[in-house]
Amino acid sequence: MSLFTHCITIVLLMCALTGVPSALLAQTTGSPTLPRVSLLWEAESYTPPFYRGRPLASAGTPVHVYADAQFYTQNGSRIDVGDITYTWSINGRVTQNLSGIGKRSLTLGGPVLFGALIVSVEATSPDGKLRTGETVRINAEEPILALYEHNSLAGTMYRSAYGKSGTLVDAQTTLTAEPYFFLRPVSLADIIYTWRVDNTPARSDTGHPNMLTVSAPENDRSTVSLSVTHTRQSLQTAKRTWQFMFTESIKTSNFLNLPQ
Amino acid sequence: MDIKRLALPLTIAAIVVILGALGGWYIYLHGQQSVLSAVSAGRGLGETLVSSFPVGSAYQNVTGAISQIFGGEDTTTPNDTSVPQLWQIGAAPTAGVTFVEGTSTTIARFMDSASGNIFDADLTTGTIARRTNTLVPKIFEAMWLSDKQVLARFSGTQGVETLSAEMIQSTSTDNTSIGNVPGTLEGIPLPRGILSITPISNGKMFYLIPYNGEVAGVITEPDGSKPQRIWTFPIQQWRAATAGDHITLVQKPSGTTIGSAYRLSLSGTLTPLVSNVPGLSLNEHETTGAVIYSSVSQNTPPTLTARLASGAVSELPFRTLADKCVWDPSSTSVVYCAVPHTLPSNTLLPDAWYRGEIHFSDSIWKMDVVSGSVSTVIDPERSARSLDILDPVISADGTYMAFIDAKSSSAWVLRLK
Repeated sequence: MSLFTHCITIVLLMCALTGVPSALLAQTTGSPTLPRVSLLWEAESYTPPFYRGRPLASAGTPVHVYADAQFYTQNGSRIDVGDITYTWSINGRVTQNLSGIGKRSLTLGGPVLFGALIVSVEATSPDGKLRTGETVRINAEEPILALYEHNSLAGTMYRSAYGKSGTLVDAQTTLTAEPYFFLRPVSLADIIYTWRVDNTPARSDTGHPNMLTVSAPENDRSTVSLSVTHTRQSLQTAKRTWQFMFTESIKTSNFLNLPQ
Repeated sequence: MDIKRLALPLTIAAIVVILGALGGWYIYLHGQQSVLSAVSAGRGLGETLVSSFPVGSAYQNVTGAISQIFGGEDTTTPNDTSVPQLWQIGAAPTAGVTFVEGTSTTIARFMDSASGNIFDADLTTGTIARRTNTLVPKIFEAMWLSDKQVLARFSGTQGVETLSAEMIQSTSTDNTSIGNVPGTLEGIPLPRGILSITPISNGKMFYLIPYNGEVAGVITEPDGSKPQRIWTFPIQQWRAATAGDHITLVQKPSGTTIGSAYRLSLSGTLTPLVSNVPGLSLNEHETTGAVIYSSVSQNTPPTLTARLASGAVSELPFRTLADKCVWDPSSTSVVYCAVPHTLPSNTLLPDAWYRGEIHFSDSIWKMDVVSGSVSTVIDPERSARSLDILDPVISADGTYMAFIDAKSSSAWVLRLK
């Protein structure tokens, strides 16, 4: 590996370790002629339908990384990405078997629990005159449980999740839990949902283990807790508790204001 | 038998039976009308119009130097009409809104999530009418290919389903007339599992769908026929939007990492647009090639940047996400942004907002990114309204903005001029 490669790797690694986004060093200027490489990645993790954000990596979730090198000749035409040499480094170590001409994408096993993957790439033009690099830090995120109202007509209200405490909008409400960033695919057999209401085990809706229908209790307050475990990835677990209040005024109406 | 003696009681009995039947019929009809009225009221029809007023003060998330730089705020009151400046057109969860411009009026057309019914709000008269009554429940997202062709998306048992549906009107052909008998909605299912979809030119559509472990970009006719795969790529999760003769692709953002955006031509050529920006969210002008994009990372508030087609770059004075901004299609340089009054600390943006875990209370600002002039449009908090603005769209003439309130999923229209 050349001295230049070492320098690039060290600088990018320092950026990642110190939290300085190397993007600030390789920021887009709008000019199409500057050599540049973009690192694109996503994890093979679950997010609910219509989620607008990135599927993040949790411990053991495979991660797909793609390097988009943008090199231009002197006449302004773009050099074919298949002709560019990519040198990949994972956590500071060059991985020769994943590097080479045209090797612009890779799939990694994912970060370890509480750890991170620091992925760097150096791209070199076919004539060796143009070089640039980029690095990205991929943290092992903790899976997140979010709870939404499920309305039998309008569907799951994905735009508004319940916080730690909230009011339920009907005397009987169906809740849907979504386990963000668990290993994908998430089928019924892959995830164990353990529901409790007021510290008592509660049975989920038939055929829908991620859904629970709760009714207003005598004191108009309920504590709902949920524990979720992935059957194939024992490291992937999540727990969360919500406090709900049923108010008299709310109990007399329903979410859509439709006739009772 | 003396028929004459029986005639009188029989006549009286017949009259009683007829009157009873008529009374029963009246009670039945009245009951049905009450039910329909209640259903309509539940969807926001006939509700008292909610109005707010323009305001003129600086807010926490608009940098304080604006008035010094750009010479103060515009507090001009729009012309008075019978419809309030800020109008909640649908109180129930709404899947999407578009504008239909007629010769004499503008219609805000929206789809009700629970029923899949389409409603029209006449922005001149303030009336609302149901345009279709075909039941298609649980619609989460709706976008329009044309005035009468809608893409309706919902979560099915096997994944995300998409219908390309056409409004079939029973009587009038006038697309903006209110008060017709509701028509029907006739839909054709598109392939299951579409990741992102957007209308493109000529009434066609572009969608992204998993393909051999990668993602494929497909262009089809409005009914889903003649699918043409124009592009494949190893990274699957993108947000697609149309912008003139191309599609804008933005990596799904997270405040934990960098993102990039590209232009994809309709022949499948990918060109970098913005690269390696933390938490990148981006919005491209329909015709000029100008973009606004937000950058956000952990523990820092979002910053908003405009880049014109000339390459000139400037930072906008708004602390908000590009998701909350929209270009005025009637202008080459005017952008409207919803700016939260406060931004939470120790919350990862935009992730937590996308999950629906936090909501903002926004005011709406207008900025000309060329001249630099900035003005407030409205602050709903002044009328005790808290609105978390999602998916803003502006009518072709730049007169109206429609959006969904993320907290309630209700639909709103704001008059801008």
